[in-house]
Amino acid sequence: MRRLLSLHLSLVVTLMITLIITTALAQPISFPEDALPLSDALQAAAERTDVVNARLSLSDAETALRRTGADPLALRLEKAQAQQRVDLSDAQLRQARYQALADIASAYTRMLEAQLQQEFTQTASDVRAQVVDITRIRFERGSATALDVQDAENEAQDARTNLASATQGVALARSNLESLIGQEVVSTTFIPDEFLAPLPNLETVLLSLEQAPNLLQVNQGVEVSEIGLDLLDPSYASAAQIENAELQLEQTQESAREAERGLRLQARTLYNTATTAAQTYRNSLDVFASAQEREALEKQRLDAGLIADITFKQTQLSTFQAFLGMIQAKNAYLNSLFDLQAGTLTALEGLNDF
Amino acid sequence: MTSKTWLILLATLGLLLAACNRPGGDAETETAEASTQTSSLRSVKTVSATQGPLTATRNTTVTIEPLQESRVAAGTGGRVEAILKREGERVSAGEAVIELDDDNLRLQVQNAQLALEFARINLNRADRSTTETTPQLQAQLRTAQTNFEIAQRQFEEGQALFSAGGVSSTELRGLEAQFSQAEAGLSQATDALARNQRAGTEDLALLRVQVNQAQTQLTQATDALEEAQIVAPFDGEIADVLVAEGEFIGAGSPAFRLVSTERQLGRFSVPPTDAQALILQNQIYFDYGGLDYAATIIRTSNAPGNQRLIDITAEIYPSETPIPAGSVAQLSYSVPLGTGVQIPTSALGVRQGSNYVFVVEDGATRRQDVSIVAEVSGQAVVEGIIEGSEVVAPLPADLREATEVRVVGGN
Repeated sequence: MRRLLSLHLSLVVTLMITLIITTALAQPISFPEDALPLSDALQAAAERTDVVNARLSLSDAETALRRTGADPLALRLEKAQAQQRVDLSDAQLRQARYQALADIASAYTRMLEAQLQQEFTQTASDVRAQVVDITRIRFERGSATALDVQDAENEAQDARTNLASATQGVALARSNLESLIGQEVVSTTFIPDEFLAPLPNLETVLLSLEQAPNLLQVNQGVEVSEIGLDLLDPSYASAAQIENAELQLEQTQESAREAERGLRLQARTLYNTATTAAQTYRNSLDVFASAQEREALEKQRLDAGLIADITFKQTQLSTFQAFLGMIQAKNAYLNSLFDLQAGTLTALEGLNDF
Repeated sequence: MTSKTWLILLATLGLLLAACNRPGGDAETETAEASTQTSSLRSVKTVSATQGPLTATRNTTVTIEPLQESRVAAGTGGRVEAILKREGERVSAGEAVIELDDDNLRLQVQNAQLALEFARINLNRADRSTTETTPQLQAQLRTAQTNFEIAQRQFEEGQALFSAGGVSSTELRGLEAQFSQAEAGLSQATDALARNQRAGTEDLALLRVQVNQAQTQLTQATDALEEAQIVAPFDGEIADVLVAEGEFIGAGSPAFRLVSTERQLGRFSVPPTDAQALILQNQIYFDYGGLDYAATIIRTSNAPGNQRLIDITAEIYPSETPIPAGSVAQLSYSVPLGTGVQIPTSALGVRQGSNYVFVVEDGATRRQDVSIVAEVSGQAVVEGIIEGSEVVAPLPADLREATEVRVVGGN
């Protein structure tokens, strides 16, 4: 437990530093002003079908609870089940909302990455085309072979193919996102660092599992079984019935424990995934910072006439690639947070209020 | 005294008496002579004018000199080590007369030989070096040319690549520097080859000159060594030795005097009028000590000297009894004075500056003016009479025109 706490603190500190570094790093591209921010896209989560259905179920359960509560003839078991239904619907609504948020965030980040990938492949294609021109000049002057020209042309063709694939990927991601949020998306934009909520400690996460619909549903079954057992009067019920009820209770309790163990395992996996994603993101920031430093140095060398223009452009391409890797790591970290929230129903600061 | 001499004397006396007559008496005299002739004939002697050349015999002195006389000088300086021939000794051409100390001269010859060998070694080494270096320099030039072409191509490629962004400005400047360096290398290789080729002509030529100089110095040293023996330049007799053993003699200083004995010259001088005849005659003969000697004229002076004489040199034919040099002999020679009608000069008379003769024609005299062309030894070549004319000779001083004469004798 203490080890987990220290790990949690270190991650928090790391992410804080990461946020400071990220804001200081320049971004190689810019998006149009009418780009859709993530926060706006996440607003559509409330309109998702699952969420709407969950909300209707909750409303129906609450109505039933009120009706049962108003019925003087309602049995204890009926009242308990009505309350359980409300609790379960509420948990399912929260899970649906969190899952919708996770889905939208995932679709949003995929489109963002697709856009960046398209930009990257466009830049790479331009650089490859210039390399082809240079290689042809070398070939015409006798310092390159026809094979070199062919290789350069093949690489340029690959770059163009990658660009086409990236363009198709953008269209596909846009279509997916638009279908999720139900509106046209011109472009995505960079995700503010405020979305990168600090990871809660694992105990908090595990405690949140109590509200997980699956575990809640199993626990409610245990509760019903206990009520049913209590309602069996040995005076009126046969021993077989009582034993059967006790057996059912034990089985239900066992199922509850199994479900809790499974959820805990799932929660730990999600937590570990988020932790790893945070670490990966931190590393990618370092890589990107190093790439930017190298690019700045190369820019000085370019201005001093020490390197060729194509060399600097290749350096820029490497920086872009590092940036793309950083964005992908950031998105992966963000998605892992949303997945953790959806999988454990742990409300994360900044990610649950949409 | 001969009768002819007496006649001449009588004629001369007659002429003197006639000259003592008073003026204006000639006509009376002639009148008297005419009356006398009528009474008696005048006896005269006549000679017949003959046609032929008139020659004169002249005498001059011939000075005998050797054909060659030389004051033989030392060809090099040095101390006289030995005198091999003394005065009066005969020597042959090339025979040593005086020997000089030749130690230093031999050293000079050795040094000259070493210098020549040194110069030859230098020449061979330079020649070999030039021959061996040329292919290397040509290979270096080809390499430099290739490097230059590569650098030029790379620089041009760099310019194109720089425009396309393929290389940096520093790389382009580096390529430009390489191009300039290759260009300089090519220039250096070209110059090196050119220098080598020039060395093949200039340096080798200079070394050849040095070899020739050394050869010349060796020749000079060898000649100087040979000059250590002062030799007779021709066959002859040592007339005088001008140095003594142990003395130092400088180059060019006379060492001995040599005269030739086998061949001698005779020098004499004649008037210009005689010179032409002698030159045409070419041969002269003269007597010395009772022996006849012949000589061939070999040269004459073109213009008369101070005494208005022509100097003639004749080479005397070799004789078993050569005339001592400096002796003087007597030369007699004949000179043609003219060709024409000759008469004795005793037949000539003079009146009023003109010469005349009396020609006997039909027993009487007839005065005939003549011009003397040449005259020598009582004979004269005249113009004005024809060959065969009977001329009174000797001419009596009182003989007149148209005098009937009786020829009593003649030549």
